[in-house]
Amino acid sequence: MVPGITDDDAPPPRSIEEVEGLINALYSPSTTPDNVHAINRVLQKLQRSPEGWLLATSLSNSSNEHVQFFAASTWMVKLNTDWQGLSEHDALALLDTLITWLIRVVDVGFKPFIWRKICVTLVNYYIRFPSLWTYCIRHLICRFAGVTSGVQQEGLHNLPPTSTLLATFSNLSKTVIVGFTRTLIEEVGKIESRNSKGHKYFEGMNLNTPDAASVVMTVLMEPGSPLSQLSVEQVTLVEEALRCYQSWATYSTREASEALQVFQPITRITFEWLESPQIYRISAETVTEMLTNSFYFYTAEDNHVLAERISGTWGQTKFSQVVPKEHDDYDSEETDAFAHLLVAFAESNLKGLALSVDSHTSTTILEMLHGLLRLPGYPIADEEVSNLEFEFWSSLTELMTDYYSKEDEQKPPWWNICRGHLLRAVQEYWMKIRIPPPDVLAEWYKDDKDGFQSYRKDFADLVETAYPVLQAELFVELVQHALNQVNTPTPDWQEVESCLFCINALADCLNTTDPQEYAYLSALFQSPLFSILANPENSELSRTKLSAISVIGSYSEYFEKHTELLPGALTFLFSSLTIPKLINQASKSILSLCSSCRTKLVSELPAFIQHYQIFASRHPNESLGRERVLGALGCLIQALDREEDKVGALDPLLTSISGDLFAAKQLLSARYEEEAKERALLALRCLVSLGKSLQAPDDGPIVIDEISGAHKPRTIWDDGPGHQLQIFLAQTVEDISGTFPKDREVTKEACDVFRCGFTETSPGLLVFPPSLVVGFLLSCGARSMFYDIVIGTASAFVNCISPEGYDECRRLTGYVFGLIQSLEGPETDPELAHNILEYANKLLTKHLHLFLEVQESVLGRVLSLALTSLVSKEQFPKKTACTFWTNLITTAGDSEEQKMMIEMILQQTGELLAKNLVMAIGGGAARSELDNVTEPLKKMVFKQLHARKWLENSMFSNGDAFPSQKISVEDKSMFLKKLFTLRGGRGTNALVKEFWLACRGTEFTYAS
Amino acid sequence: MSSLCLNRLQEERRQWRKNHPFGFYARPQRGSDGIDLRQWSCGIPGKEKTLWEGGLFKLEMVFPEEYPTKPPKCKFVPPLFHPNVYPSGTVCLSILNEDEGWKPAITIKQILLGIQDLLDDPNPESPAQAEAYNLFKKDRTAYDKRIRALVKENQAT
Repeated sequence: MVPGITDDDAPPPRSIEEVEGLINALYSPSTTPDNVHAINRVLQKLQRSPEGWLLATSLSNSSNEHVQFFAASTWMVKLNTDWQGLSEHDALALLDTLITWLIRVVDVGFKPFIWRKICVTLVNYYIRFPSLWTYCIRHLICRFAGVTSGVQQEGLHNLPPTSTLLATFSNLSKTVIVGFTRTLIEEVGKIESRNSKGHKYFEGMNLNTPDAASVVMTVLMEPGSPLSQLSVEQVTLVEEALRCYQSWATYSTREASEALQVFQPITRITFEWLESPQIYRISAETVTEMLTNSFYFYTAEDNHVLAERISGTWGQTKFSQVVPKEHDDYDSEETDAFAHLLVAFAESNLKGLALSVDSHTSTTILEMLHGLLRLPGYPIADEEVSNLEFEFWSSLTELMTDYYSKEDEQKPPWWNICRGHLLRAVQEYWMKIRIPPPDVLAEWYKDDKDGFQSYRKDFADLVETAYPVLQAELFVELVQHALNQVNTPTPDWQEVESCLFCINALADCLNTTDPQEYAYLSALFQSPLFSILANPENSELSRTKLSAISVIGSYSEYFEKHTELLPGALTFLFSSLTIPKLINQASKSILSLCSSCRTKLVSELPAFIQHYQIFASRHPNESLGRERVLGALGCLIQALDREEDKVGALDPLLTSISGDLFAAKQLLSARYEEEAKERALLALRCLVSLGKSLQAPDDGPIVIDEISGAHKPRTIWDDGPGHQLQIFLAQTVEDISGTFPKDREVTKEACDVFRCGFTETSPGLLVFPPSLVVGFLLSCGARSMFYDIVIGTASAFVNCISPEGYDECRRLTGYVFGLIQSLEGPETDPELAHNILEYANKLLTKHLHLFLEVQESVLGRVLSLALTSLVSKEQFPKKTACTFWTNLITTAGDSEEQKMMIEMILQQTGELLAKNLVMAIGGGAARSELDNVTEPLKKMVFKQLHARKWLENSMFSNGDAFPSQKISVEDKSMFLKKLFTLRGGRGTNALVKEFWLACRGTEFTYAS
Repeated sequence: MSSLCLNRLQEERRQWRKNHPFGFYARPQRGSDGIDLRQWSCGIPGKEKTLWEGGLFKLEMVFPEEYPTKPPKCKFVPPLFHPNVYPSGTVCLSILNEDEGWKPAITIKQILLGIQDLLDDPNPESPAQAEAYNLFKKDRTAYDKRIRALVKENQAT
């Protein structure tokens, strides 16, 4: 039974009339979708049945078009499913039936969808029986002409030539022949030709090529001049012929078939058709497609002829028709067709155009490209043409830089002329990226807006690409335009915005050391630009402000060198914080400037703190903005010399944050739980941001560590106002955390506050004494189940502690390892298991003595967890366990005693470790885990004397030790032999992978 | 650089410039001695009508010498909170794995679209970072909230 057709479907129709009734019902608009579905199933069942052939023949005699269509579709189904069941005799009879039917359908004048469907069926026939219909095009033509009958194909060459026969055909018959010729190559072209089966089609198409070319040539030549007025039928015919040419040409370039030579002479004729107003669009499309996808089909001479045509009378007239001066009188389809053709030509002939840029042809074509960029209207919303040219101008730039990349090199004339064109194009585009006035924007759809944004970004890309060629001249011009506007009484702010947008795009293009562009930038930044924009009355300038804010952030390196302009810029930025839409970008730029220019700005700190306080009071819930501004202030505080000053500056900031905690508590008591939590989170995030910015910058002075054990000088962070502040901070965090004990996010952020100081080497606000950190972590651990956060923070802490913290570390270790007791194995809580093993890893690698002094029974539990995790289904514990064992095997130990202890551990666990590793590589592990599992194996093989014995025991023991039955004892021995020959070297991973595949069974491969 | 790798990357660049999906960017990085075609900076926008909408996430694509026989390495910079992104930022996706779904015909556009799809449709079968994976599995509300914060921090402008 055919899938999808169930027995409970309606009984099959018993007569042809009933079938026809069903087909008519299928296409009737009044049939319900459910019925359509049911009828379809019945009909499909019929089509697939052995009687399908006969059914199609009967139906093809109908005068009803739907029935005819269904007949063709039935033959398609049969040809696809049952063609092998046809004898040669039956197959030839079928061919005769199909051709006779097609001729009749054309004679009667049925709608095109019928004859097109029959043509597809005939092509499908050819694909099934290529040897029975070798010269299919010629035979079909002869049948249409009535000069032969049946399926006899010998002697076709003695009949009158194709062009003579075609001349006697009606336009419709010709269209059918061309349609068949085109469908033939399109369908056969889909068959893979690079195998023996495909090769016969390749040969078959070579045999049919002369006839195909003759058909196309005759049709395209016939109307005489392309300027003749064509009937509707003729238009259809020529269009079909152009498409047919394109399909054969594309096939020939891809398959390198004989059509290459035979069809090439037709190319020029296709160019002629550009002149016909009725055919222009299709012919332009054909040429564009050829240039874009089958460029190698065109000869140099073809390209020359095309260039002459585009730059000659035809092209110039067309250009003036399709590129109007005014917005309202152009047919965008006509313009698009020309623009696509022009751009495709320019792209594919780029080098020739550039090298002969002063020729008449090149000049005309480049002027046309400029003309298209001046097309009225906004890009995307009104016109799509300028968008097409980005690729051309980018490629031109690349060609220019490829030829002459060194600055001092003498450039040839063509290079300089091209540079002039490129500069003009950038200027033309620059006009296009102006933000439309609000009333225009209001009418745009979302796609228009997105498209316009994307267009601006593409333009920014082009400007960046073109900068190595255009250099400072472009920069000067942009600055000059902006300045001119800023200095007029009524500036065009859209123009200023577009200048700033481009200047922003160029930020990464300038030389790193004092580029000459900085002088121009100074002129701009010294102008009243920022002061005008900072004026709160100019609220409608938000878009220009946004671009100005971005420019400041992008040029923080400039401000490092021109500190005199910093206050003006920052005043503008802080003033922007009053406008909600600008907070995001302004706070970003404030952070960027304060981070890079921290030492130059310390004197401004009191004023900035004040700005922050105003901002925080106006926008208390503006989390990201507040975090960033606090981060900016933190950078300045970090740059202060005296610790007392730091404390003094931090005090009001912490007070402000504790105000948030107070607000959170008030909200909580008023039962606004969600709001309360958000406010608490905001406070913590502000602290994290502040804490991170207080960290010493990477490029700061390196403090040489005091000799271990030497007495460190005490600072105000140990027992002065700094320490008081620390205690206040720790209490605040503990307080917030305790207020929301079961909240994951609060716990995470609170831990992150402590993390900020872990890696610091000098004392500071967040460099807490170890007892405070451990105390907090333990109370967190007692309150909540968020082990990943608490133990994760503990691991980070252990990673950084100094000897003073060892006692606290022991406390922490006792807590973390104590949690193993709640686990029955890694599967009980994989997250906890993973985190405990991470911690163990850190302790082992960073403080071996602390690891080894862990109480024996506790250590036993840690090792047992690490062993069972190797064979667990859980990926994270497994991978961490692999790292743990790798580390343990390779740990050297500082003293003889430590070495002995490690060796003892390994002797006790080795056997089981080997067993579990063998389980994993014997097919137990997932493929993605193999590299992890192989690491400890490699180390074991290299370092452990007993490794061979352990691995052999596991490999050859009976029972559950080895998971696969698919490999022999010999394979296992061979594997072990190779493994030990490699001694843990590089090839081990590949060897293990091979072994694992064999154990899983070779059929196991990824589906591609 | 091998000519196969170079030609392919040039073609990829051309195709991208001619036609790329809205909101994405992808371009070779500029070094001190010109453009480095084997190192691209890309931006992936969050898909519309998902939690990720409105965000733009930066990614670096590094092409090995053997490209396109071998896939490029894709890495979020800074590393992204996502179940299938390693703590280093490297994306874990079958089509980027030489042993799995990588095929030389896969284009940069397809890779970026693939990663965009992955953002809102993580694959719990191949977790790459514990934090995002565990949260995704255990507490979807908290996970979603984290994503919303992430999007706010990385807004497309």
